[in-house]
Amino acid sequence: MISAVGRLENRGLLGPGQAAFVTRVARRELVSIRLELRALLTAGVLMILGGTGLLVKEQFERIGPTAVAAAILAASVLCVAWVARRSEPFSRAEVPSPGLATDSILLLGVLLFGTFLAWVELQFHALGPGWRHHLAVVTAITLAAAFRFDSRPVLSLALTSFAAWRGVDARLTLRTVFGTPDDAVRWNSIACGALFLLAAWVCTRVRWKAHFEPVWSNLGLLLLLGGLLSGAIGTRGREWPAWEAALAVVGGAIIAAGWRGRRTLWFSQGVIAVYLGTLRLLFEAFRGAGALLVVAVTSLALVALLVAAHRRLREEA
Amino acid sequence: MNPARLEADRIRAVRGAAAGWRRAGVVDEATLRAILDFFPQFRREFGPVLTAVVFLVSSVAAWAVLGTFALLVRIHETAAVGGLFLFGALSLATAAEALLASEALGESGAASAAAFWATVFFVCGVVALTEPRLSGSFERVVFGAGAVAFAAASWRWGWPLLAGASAFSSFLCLSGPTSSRLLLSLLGLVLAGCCIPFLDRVGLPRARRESAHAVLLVSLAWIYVLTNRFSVDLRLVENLFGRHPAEPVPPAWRAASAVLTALVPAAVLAWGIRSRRRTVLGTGILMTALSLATLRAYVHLAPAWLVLAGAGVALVAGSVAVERWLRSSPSRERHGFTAEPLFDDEVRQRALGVVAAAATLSPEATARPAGAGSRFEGGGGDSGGGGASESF
Repeated sequence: MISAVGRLENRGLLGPGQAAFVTRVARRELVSIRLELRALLTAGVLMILGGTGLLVKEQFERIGPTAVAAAILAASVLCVAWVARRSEPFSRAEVPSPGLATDSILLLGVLLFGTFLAWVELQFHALGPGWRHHLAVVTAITLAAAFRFDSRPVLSLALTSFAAWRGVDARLTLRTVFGTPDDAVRWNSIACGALFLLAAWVCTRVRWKAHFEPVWSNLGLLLLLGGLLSGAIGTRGREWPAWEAALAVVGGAIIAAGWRGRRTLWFSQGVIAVYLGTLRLLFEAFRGAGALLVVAVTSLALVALLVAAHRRLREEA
Repeated sequence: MNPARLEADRIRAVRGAAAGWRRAGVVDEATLRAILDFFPQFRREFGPVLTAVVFLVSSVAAWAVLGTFALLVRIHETAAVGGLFLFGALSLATAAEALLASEALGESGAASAAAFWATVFFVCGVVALTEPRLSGSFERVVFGAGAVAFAAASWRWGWPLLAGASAFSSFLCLSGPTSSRLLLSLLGLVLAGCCIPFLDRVGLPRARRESAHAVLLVSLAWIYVLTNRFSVDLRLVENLFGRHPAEPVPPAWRAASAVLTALVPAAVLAWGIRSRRRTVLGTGILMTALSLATLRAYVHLAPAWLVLAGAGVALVAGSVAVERWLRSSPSRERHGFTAEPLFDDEVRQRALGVVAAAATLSPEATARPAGAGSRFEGGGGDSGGGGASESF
């Protein structure tokens, strides 16, 4: 790298000041530890949440439910107040983050608030049989915090909380796909996905935090395709061809949209979903060596197709 | 090393760095264009997501072709299975060479998939061919073959992951109920020491330097596993393959491990700070965290919740303090460290943060969608995660 910088300087492509700075970084005379600090902050948040969980589990009888709830709520308010003091006023556009820790502290604040709500529900049964609706409250609060303080990680938490309220575990998409979720979970996954995609479109259209669009859309696609794929892979009898057809149509549309919008993540999610759905179809149609041969040919054809698509994209760019 | 891979790796490093310079505003768009023209793309570069997709699909293809052969030839005997695996390894190695020379596919993920599975198939072949003659040394043959095959693959194709896998296999090959922790630790130390001169050697291809880095990190991790007191008491290395050693741990080694549990992370952390190597620094931080957890297992400092929450608060407060300390300097750097992104891809780091938040902090799903007549049942889940769990 240092020799390459020297060549660029000799060619006049880099000025002496630019070359000196770049060489300094290449020689590790100046090193960024931003990623490490971010990782430590996330680890810290996880540990505080773990500690809070243990405290509630082990000590609540000694401390008492009201004191536990008050302590958690106070900690949550403290975190949010810390962020509020440092953040810029609300804007519909993107607001620069005041510091590296803001997102993590805000995450901690909303998660502690979620813990507080769950604890209150567990102890005082405010919602009775509808106890699971506390997740809807968590979603609303988290969503508001994400918009007010312009935090993408908090938005992702709001969306996964919403999915969890509807019975869909966004962390376990693979389990949803290859496990045997009941129809309600499958349909909820599809509905959540569609809703998030709609929200992505709206937030871009009305220019309200338009930079949140990738979070809405990618999580939406994950849930939508996960639900459809679970139908295509996990169902039997007369049901599965309909799921296969739906997956092919929706997956094809997503691939086309990803292609048109030059969005690799959309394109790749669509390709993987349709590919996995096709594998099921091939194993239904063929048996033994024939099935494996067709899978091999299909996979190699897909690689060729991806390479051709990539070439076309680059040529157009 | 494969010459096509060597050249592609060199050019990609400069082009990637130039993109970082542009992100940081060190160069303008016109200069970036001029640099990219000066170092023209040797082969088409795929992004990380598309590379992962091609790797996955190519892997399915490799296994499907092998399975087709196995079913068509109707192979049942172990020796024949071994032969088939070796044939598959040879074919894939040839394919990897051809793919690396290809302008279109060289950096697509197909070549790396072919190289990786060629190595794995070779190991499977060797194991299948020698399996009938193995008595009690099955693991040694598996990991010995793995060490050799991954080292050869790394030497030829240069992917650091292969070098790391070779080092890891070597350590596993030498582990067992009769292994001496002292000798294994010394071996790890020697291997780590051998890697150090190659980390920054001028003229050495980047892939080779990164491979040395991978071996160094695996060696450091291995030394830590061997010297950690908890691992010694658990006899983690000796019991690795389910064979329990007859002899107890020597008392001297137990005493030494207590000291080494503190010393090894401190040494690695100090070296990471002094050399400003981010990977070593990260390894040191991780080892320190594990050593503190080990300390908690032996010494009752305070209740678990207090230790966990206190450590979390200390981590958050410490990170905030370090960031402020670095930023408060007029040049926003101290002792060669800065909290500014420099040439890192901030957008990618933020995206990783979003994925990490969704993956680790999201709540567990309710057993049934809300509104489906559910009732509180308790007895599951965990705390945190937005308080979604059914109980604490």
